[in-house]
Amino acid sequence: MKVIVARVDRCTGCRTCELYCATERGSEGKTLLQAVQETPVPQPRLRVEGGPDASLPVQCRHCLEAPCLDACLTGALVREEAHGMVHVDEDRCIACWTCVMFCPYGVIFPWPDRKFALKCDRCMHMETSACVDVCPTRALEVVDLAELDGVSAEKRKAAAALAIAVTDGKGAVHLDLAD
Amino acid sequence: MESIHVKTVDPIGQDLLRGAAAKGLDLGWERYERLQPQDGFLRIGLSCAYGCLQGPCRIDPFGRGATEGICGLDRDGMVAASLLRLCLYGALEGLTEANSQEPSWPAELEPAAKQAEGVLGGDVSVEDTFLAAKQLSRPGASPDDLLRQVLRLSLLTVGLPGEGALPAAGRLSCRAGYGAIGETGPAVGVCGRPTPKLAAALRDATRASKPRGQVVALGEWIVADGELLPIACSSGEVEAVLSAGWLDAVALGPDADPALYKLCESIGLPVLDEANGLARLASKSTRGPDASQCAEGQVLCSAEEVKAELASKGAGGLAVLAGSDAPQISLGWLPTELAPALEAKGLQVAACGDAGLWVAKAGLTSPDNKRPAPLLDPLRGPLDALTAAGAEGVKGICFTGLKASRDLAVALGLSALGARVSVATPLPLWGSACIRDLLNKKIGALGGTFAHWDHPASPDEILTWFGDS
Repeated sequence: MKVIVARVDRCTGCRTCELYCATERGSEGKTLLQAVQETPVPQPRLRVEGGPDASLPVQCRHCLEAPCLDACLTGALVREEAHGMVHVDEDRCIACWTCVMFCPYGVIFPWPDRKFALKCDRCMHMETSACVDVCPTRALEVVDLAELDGVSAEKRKAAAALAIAVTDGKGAVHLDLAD
Repeated sequence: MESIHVKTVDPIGQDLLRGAAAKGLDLGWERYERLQPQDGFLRIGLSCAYGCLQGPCRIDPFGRGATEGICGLDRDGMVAASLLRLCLYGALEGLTEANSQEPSWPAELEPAAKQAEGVLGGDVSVEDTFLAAKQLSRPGASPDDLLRQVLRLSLLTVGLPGEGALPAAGRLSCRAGYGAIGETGPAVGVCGRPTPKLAAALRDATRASKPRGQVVALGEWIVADGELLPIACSSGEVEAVLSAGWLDAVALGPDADPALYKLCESIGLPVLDEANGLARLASKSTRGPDASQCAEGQVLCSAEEVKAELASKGAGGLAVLAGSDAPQISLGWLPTELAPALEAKGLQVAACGDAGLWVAKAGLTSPDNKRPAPLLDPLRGPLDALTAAGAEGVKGICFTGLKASRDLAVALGLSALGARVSVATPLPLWGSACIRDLLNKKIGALGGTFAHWDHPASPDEILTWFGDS
């Protein structure tokens, strides 16, 4: 199973992923200039969160034990066997927003205008994910779940090396809270 | 997903691009592709144009994020301000000695200009650039005021001569195409608006060389000692021509893109200036493109010449193709498709700028042609056409691409003078339907029309637009 990984150190918060996700997955025209003229207004399936210090695009994690799947009253949320992705069958969705409330990461969004829940499905039927394709800093990557541990380990190793470097080899700083 | 299209309609140009790729050279197309998608907020005018340092604020076109800037500016104000900023840049491009120039329009267009000035709030002057700059310092002005200023600046830009116009009288012979480089002798390319003195000196040096060489303009219209330098390519093809290895040296003026210096350095092409290099010319010879790859045409340098040409042709109306190469549309596609189709509709086609070069390269300006399309001054051409034929006689002026803000300001200014104008590349106006409507209304009140599309327009769409007149 492949998932989208976001690198916080590369995200500049430009929200290009949001714009083009809404354009590609939510509009009829499929170009930004046409999408902004459409009614209902197209909506993205991910959202850039954070502030000036750090920003990050957040989207569905496709949890291996997904609460939204259990919560869905009509069976509109299904896991695609071939890709392992959790996606919304829009015809079955009754817009009750139960999944929105159950999602532990807050990445399922209600779309009242179209009366269905909106979530990232990693553009599984496309060659590449729209957000990954357009990210100008390559902050978004598609990674195989099996490789994810390796990616995380690399990140931890890099962070540990940095910590050791800035603490004169100690690797940790004891803070004296009394001061 | 928006996609990359065929880069150029010229098969030899395609070979040049393939050759550059084989050499591992990075040209404008590669940079363009790497930059996709370009900033979505800027593309639709929803990245704030005001100069405060709290931003930049950007409004979410899809409504989930911010609906206004920190100061409370809404999307209408933001789009109007973006357009004003572009037109301010355009007007400034036309100013050669700030404060000393005031706009003037040909006598035939004076009534239309005066009427427009009356509707837009009084005489237009260079002062309008200061007012626009002030309006862009804080977001106090209403969208209506901003658009009025947009049109005032556009009118001003049309009334300013601009740098790089040809002498305003008579006709000039023009040779355009890769074949202008010549098969033997030293060949020097010039671009980036070099001084006329340098262009003339280079030309003399290459003429004196044995075998005789050639100085060619790269995508520009440069007059040296009263003659138009042969033009080897359109502005969008300069890097491809440099990478072909046909030139022995290049002279780059102050307006040359930074990429040209880097490219010359990477391929070892000497860059000349006035102080050095002229003596080096005679020592090299090169194998250039086939001389047959060159077309000829006549440049009508004044409205009088355009008028005389129209009187001799007796066509059903004038269609003007203007504008620069733009990466959003295959190079040469629009001019080479539109010109013959418009001729077939019984219109006299005139072209200028890059559009003119493509029309020439397609052989449509050749004296052998049944009704050769005249070329116009690259800067003043559309205005000359409007002066000569009047708003009724000009069926439309289509800018097939925009490279500089001045082109946009001129397009808007011509429509403010009552002309039918279209721009084939998308403008940053799609973030606000209200601003688009308001702009249309304002231009309509002045008797003109201004068409643009939310996508790079196809020849069919532009032909339909011409047919609607």
